[in-house]
Amino acid sequence: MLNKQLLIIVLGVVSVVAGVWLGRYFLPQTETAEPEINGIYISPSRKVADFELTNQSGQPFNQAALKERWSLLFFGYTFCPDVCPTTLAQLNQFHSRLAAEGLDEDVTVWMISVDPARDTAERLKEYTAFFNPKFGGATGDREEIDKLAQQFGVYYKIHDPEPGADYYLVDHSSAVIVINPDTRLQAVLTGTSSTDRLVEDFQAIRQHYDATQS
Amino acid sequence: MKRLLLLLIPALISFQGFAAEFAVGDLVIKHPWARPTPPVADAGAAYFIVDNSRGADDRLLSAEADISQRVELHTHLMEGDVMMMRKVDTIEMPAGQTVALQPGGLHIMFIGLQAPLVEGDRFPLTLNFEKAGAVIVEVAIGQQPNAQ
Ligand SMILES: [Cu+2]
Repeated sequence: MLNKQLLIIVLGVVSVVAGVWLGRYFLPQTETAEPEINGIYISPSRKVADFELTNQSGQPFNQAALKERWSLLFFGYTFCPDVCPTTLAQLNQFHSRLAAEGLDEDVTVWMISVDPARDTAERLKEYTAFFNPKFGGATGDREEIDKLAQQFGVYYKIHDPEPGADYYLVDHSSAVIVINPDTRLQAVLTGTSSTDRLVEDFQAIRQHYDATQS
Repeated sequence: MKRLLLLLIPALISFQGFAAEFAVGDLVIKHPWARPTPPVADAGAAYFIVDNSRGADDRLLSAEADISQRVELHTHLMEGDVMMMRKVDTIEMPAGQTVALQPGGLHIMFIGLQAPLVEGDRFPLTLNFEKAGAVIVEVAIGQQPNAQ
């Protein structure tokens, strides 16, 4: 008796799951289906709150710098020997791949230094240019860095030097923040992905954005 | 004769170019490499694979190079998407295992670089293992070898 009830429940669950799965598989994907990316797609996109930093040329870096173009923001520091160079080298490959197809004109990559005590504008300029002369860099007051980082959920922590050490380390998020041409947060790319995947994800985000403009 | 052979071995190995392997005791150190660094960079990192499939438990105690003021052993801890680099005292080389020092994980960290690491250059790095002893490997500056 109990077994029969259980069987009915199990069959019920199985058919619902199968139905959802079959539906996903066979129903035509609408043009506005949200892209499935390695990270978080933000829908609806979120307004970027004000911030005021300085770019690699000593000019203001604020909302205006993000206007009417796609911006990819990465938070790091130039003392970082591993994660930051790895990410910037990959973003360079990403940007070069877009460039090869003429799709890079409205895409800017920024490294935001969370370590203004060691990273000046000039230093950031040389650092980012090493990976790609078109890349920008920005930093500024801790308060303003926090305004930018916190609204994207980007975490970082500056450590005190270890006893006997003359340097300090910084923990930081390895996420890449994607801002759309309306200066709104559109995606947070996370996880170590290949350049192929990065290009795919970005193109999917851009196409979805274009398709939903009216 | 044995000494002559020992002198010849590194020469033979380096002849293979990028696919360099360096043996010490039962350990084989494969493909030491480092990423080129921007002119303003203060720090750099080197990576390699240690094959301990034939040996007993061992550990890397320290590393030495004259390209920087300090040479340290480091690792990364990851919490969500946050990377946390930390100094470690030793790197374990368990018997029967292969340990990879690679981006986003374990690495040899160079602090206070004397000069930028330039693509195509090489530099000697001394690795001090507890049991296997010291070995000098040649680190190739370039991109991550595919062989990894
Ligand atoms: Cu390190």
